[in-house]
Amino acid sequence: MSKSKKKKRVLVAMSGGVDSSVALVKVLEMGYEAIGVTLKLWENKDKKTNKVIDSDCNSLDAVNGAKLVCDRLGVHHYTLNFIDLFRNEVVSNFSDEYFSGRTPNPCIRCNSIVKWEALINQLDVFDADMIATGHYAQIKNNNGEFELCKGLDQLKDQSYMLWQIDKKLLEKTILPIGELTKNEVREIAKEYKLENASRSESMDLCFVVDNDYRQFLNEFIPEKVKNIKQGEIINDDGDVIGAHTGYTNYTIGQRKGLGLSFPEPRYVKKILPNDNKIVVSKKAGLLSSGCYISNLNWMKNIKEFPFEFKARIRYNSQGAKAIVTNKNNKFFCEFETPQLAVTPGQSIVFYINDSVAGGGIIE
Amino acid sequence: MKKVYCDISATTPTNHEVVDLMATIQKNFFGNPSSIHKYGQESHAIIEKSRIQVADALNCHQEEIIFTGSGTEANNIALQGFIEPKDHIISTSYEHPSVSNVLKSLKKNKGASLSLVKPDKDGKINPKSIKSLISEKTKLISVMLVNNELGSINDIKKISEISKNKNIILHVDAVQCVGKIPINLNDLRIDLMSLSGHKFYGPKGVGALFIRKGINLKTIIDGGGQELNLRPGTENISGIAGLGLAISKACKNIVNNIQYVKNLENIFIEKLNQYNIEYILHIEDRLPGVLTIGFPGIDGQSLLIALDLKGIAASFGSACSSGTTKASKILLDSGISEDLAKSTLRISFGKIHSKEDILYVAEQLDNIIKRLKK
Repeated sequence: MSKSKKKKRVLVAMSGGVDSSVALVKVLEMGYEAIGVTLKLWENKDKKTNKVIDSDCNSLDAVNGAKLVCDRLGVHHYTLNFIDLFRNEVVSNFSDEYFSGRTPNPCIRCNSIVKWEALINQLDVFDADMIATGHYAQIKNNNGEFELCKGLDQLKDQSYMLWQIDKKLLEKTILPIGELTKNEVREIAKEYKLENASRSESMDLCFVVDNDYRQFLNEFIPEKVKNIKQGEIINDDGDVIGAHTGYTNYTIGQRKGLGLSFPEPRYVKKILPNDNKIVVSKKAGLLSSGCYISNLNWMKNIKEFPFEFKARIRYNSQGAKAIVTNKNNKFFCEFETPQLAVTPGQSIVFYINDSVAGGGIIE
Repeated sequence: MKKVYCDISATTPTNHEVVDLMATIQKNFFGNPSSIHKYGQESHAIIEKSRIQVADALNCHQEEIIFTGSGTEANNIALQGFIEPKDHIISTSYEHPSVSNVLKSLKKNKGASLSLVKPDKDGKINPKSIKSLISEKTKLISVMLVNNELGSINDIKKISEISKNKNIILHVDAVQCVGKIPINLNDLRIDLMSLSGHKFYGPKGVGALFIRKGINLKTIIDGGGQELNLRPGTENISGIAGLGLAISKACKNIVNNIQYVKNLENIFIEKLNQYNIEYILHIEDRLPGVLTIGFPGIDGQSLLIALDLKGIAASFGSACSSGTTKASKILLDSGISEDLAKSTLRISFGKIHSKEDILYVAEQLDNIIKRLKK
């Protein structure tokens, strides 16, 4: 049988949750042959019993859930072990970033390096043609130019999380639930009796137990954590106004746990790892009018800068008008109105209408 | 799509006569074998008949057989039931976890001392190495008859002579090979031997332990006294009956089966050669039908998945350690390089296969390896 006559085969990345389960349903409805894969990324072990501790995104439960859904739909399922890749490319970067006083976004890095690049590299093994995931975003084909666009459900849109994916990989990707609302997804799950897919999708980091990243860093790189000492909390003028417990325990915009008492609350404005200092200010002090951007990944061909986009500086932000300039490949983003807590290490994503033009890391 | 199940070492499909017998028993004999009434007597008789079948198949006495819930349970009952604090145990580095982990915990919790022998390059344990480790404190030697990952067959006869001379108890995990090669317990001086129904076309969830007359094991599970008080709990009547029928069927035709499976192996290897597939067959003297075979430059897990998508089931490392991409420790211990270990599959054939099945496997291997090498 020649390949052109064969049904196209799609690898569906399954977390065991409702979104990826419905993605599988949709892939089958589109007439593709599907194979379910669950990526094993991490194992948290209890130190006393050496038993694996479940985390929402990566648990035995999730794998079993995915297996059950695949079995129900008559589809092969495999668990692919990407633990080494995930540790080296995502978790190490996560801890390095914290040690540089920055706030990383490991899920975005994981999407591009693991869920896209590494998974697409597996296509040959499965003799498959494309991958599919349960992200709320859309890929549109404009005369052979593939565009990454927001998901139809504005409340669930995950295009922000996908800016780092290599543009070339979009043509090998299907995002089957991007045109659905979360309610429609739930309805389909009900219709197909995928009750076990009723688990909520986790927003926590899959490798961090109880979302306690400080404890995680303690265990992941204890030697480095040991060198993190207490230090001074200073204000904008450089006056010492308190003490911090170690700069990795703080993130930009943090208010709680600073141990300061002022009539008007203070927020972490800057982390200075080299001086071992934390700068705090009033809320207004967190506003910034612009930022430099590194690690750019352009999905659209922007011929000339400066260029005006709508920029999102965090997952749940609405976006703000911003002008990006390029001076000798140094990109700077100036917001039309100053933005609160522009956080180094976090992602900034640029949109033209609903389409992702590109993104980068805030410096 | 054609389907060929080539993972006989992991488990076997249940023989249909066995399934029918078990269904009949489930439907008609529910009495508790310990009960005095007729219902109980009938169930009891089924168990005793099965015990005779097992004893006949292995050439031992029926009083020397107890039924257990699995091979793992049999190994636990034997080892935990025999070892006393401070005993010295000699075993191997490549036992199944149902032995190795029990020994580890005996060491940790009971203060037993443990010496482990690594396999030689041929995948076998050298009896001389065992002999050299024996001390006055040595109370038990535990060596598997056939290694589950490699298929290599150990010289249990020689090892049993050593243990007999030194008056040391010999425990043998024979789960991998009962019903596949002849075992004569009248001939071999084995003291404790475990087996499992599902490895010889019998049911899962039932195993047996041979305990040579005169050996007293401590009870490790407290209960109502069934199976010499070593495996208390109301008996799995249909499972035990299924195991009995399966072992007698397997052992009756053992010589013909071996011939048949060896022939399949030869056809397979010949075909690989014809296709010019690069392979390394790791073990020479092995359980008929078990091929531990490396395909240099090919990722084993990828090959396994690609085969599965063509309806062919094989395994990567043993079934219990599948699902990880780490190279099998057993392969590494027997001197295989890490790269080659990661390229190694276990393909196991049995009497259920036809020549066409084997040709299909070779053909698909050829297609897939060409694709993955691209």
